[in-house]
Amino acid sequence: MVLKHHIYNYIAGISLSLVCLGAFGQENAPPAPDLGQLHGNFEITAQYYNEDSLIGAPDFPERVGANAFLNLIYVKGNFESGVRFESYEPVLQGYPTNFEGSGVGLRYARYRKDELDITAGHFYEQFGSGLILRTYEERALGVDNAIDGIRVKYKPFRGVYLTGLMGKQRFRFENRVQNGDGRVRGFDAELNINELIPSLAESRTQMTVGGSFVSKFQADRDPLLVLPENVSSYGGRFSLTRGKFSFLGEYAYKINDPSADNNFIFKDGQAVFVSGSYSKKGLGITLAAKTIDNMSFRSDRSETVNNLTINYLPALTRQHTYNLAATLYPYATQPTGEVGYQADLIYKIPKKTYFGGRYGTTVSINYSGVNSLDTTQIPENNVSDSLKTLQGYTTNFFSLGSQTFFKDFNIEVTRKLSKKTKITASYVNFVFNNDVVKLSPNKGTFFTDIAILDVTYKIRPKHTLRVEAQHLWINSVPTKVDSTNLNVLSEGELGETISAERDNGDWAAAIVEYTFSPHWIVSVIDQYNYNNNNKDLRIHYVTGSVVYVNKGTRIMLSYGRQRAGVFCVGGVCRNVPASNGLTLSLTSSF
Amino acid sequence: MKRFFLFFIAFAFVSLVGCDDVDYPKRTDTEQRTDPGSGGGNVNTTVTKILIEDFTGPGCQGCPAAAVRAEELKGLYGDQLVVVGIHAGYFASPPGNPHVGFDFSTPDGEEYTKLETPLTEFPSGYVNRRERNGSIILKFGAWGGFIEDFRFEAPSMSIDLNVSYTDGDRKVDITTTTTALQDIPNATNLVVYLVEDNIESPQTFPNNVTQNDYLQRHVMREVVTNTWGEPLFTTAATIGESVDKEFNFTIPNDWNVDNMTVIAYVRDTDSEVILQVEEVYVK
Repeated sequence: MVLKHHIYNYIAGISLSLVCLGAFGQENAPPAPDLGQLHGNFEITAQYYNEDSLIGAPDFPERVGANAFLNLIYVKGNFESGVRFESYEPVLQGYPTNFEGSGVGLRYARYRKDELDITAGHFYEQFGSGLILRTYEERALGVDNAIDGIRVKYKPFRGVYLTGLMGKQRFRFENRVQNGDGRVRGFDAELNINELIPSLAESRTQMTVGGSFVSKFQADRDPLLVLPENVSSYGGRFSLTRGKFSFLGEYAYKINDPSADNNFIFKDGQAVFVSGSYSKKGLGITLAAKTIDNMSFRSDRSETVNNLTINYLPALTRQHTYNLAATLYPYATQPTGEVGYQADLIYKIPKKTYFGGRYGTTVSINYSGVNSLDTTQIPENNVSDSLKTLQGYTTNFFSLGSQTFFKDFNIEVTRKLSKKTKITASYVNFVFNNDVVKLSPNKGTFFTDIAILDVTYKIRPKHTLRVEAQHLWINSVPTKVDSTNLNVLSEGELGETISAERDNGDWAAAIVEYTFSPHWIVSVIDQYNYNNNNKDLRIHYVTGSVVYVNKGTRIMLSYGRQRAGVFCVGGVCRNVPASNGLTLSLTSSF
Repeated sequence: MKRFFLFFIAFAFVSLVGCDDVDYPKRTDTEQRTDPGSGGGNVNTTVTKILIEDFTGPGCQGCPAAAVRAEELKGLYGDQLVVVGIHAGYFASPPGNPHVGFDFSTPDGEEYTKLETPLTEFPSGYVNRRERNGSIILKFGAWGGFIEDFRFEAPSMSIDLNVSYTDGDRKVDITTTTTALQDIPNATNLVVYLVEDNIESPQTFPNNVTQNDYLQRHVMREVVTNTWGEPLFTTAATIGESVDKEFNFTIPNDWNVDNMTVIAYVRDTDSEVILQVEEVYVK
């Protein structure tokens, strides 16, 4: 009711502003008073669905699904206010299904004066790298965990940045946004040492330190367990840059937080992230490592998948862009426990050298690995644990467990051959433990090799043709388990072998894209699962699309097939059905 | 400026106080909260009973944990709680359920997954199809706390459920007398399930590990009425009004009658809330 009241007031305010703007626009009067600015953006994706039993695309009785968003932001002086209308009539297939109807999905008012910045309503915030708090919107995945409440930012001194917040998180949408059960309270302080100490202002060494605290409250009505109603977490971080070197480090701790993610154990959680890099012209090296132990943090302990997450545990693996490498086996952080590391090197071989060629050559090499955390399960018959403390397991923090979750070695070479031709060749090797990450129903750890060739040819000014050819080879090995307690065994240990399958077999993909700048892009992509073990599923997933861009507006029309997939977080999974149909998307900003 | 700085210190302090370290997580008052009832062939309801519809499947890694939680709650609430495992959705049938020959899904179960917004996350459940935070879909960790919110409510219906079974023709006869204990403003339907407990089947666990001798609990085998039930009171019901119903069903040979129960529940056709539920063994 209160929300409705606010919305009506808001709409009335905006309408009044528009009327006023129109009125003033027609007069030849003295300089108009500052009425502020209204800007925003609009996005709609609509899809017409065909039933396609071959790829398993289900019948969709309503035929058409559409997600639409309109953001309106009004700014006047120190004041800013925004509202987002959302519409899911009905929601697109593959999106979380708890989005339905049309209405207001976000609204806020913000006031900034001098060193003070106050937001009331919905806001997005991140403390450090997000290990204990990050709220964000990832529209493509249906993730939006904005906090609805109050945020205050304040700079009491030069170089001191303080943020305090409290509120509830956005959970679902049914004609209006609905918040989750728990409350989130947080505080963050960041000190920029070089700003704080004037004598260091010009120093070659730049340093910031920060600390944050986040607590959530959720009532405990559980009849079986004494659940903590207030769960707190805190973290510290630093960043140091000197010349070509920079270092980052962050540590986070969370007290007992029994949840569906950790199967209601009362163990505490920890996370560490460290990174060091060196960069100079033509060369960049980054080394990073992280460990996560029981760090899933949500404002509702019973929730799963992407719902009501308070923190964000970044994946320390390369985000691929080429189709087969990006879409078939993407790795997702396992919030219950993992140890990851990554090394990244980019080197530009100078032009007019033997290896660099006439225009220079860029080589990028990346390696990352993620293992289980080294843990020891406390047996269920351990009376002191199962009846009293419910710790679940013990761990050697930051030590690698025997199970490989994911490995990625990839190398990419980009070279301009002539004024008209640029070529990128890429090789990607994944080790993907599907038994843990569970992207497909098939068992085993998959070993894939992917080769990619990307050629861009400028036919004449404004006309560019780009062709990609990709191939993926796959093999798999089974996981071994102890048949008595079903624990996973490491290599060399004796146990029962779970069968392994080559998932969907080998794939080939080709893309042809023609760009007639600045307005038109026409492309066709074919993902061909030519080596599927099931001959009936040796299918071409072909999609053709036409894109028109004009200033702030982009319209895309595409038609084709999309594979089915499974999306899992922490052992809880959501399936994304296959689809076949026509998609229209329009984005526009003003 | 000083004022604001003080405000921030206060803010930080408020945040810092929120911290509950639990030393002994298990409740000590978890003795059964209701009389377990006499069992056998006849039960008459006197309290608001609770139905957990646990949506599950043999391919669902996280689902055994939900089944364990349901049994823990059953141990606590005794006959006041009725649990049914509805095999439906992606992990109940191929390809999400890779265990060939162990697909316990039914068209009725699939319909129940679409009651609110189609279920795509498993395990999930409904608790009397009541809304918590605007949704009837509850993850298993929330079941217990939610039951505590309404289990003391006075019942609006009673179901007198009688079941008799003849061995020779494997026929089960079901009679119900449903009585309004309060005035009920909406139309109500009676739905009857046949449920088989402890069906041995493979089940996928976390890490994709399969346990071959897993016992599937309280599997919904058949909806004896139609999916959404037979009309009881077609408009409203006044206190004291009652309706008798009779159903019968022949149990297939490969279902273990010794492990079977009949579940009967009354659903409010307007709000979809389950007003009352009852369960009785077939034999």
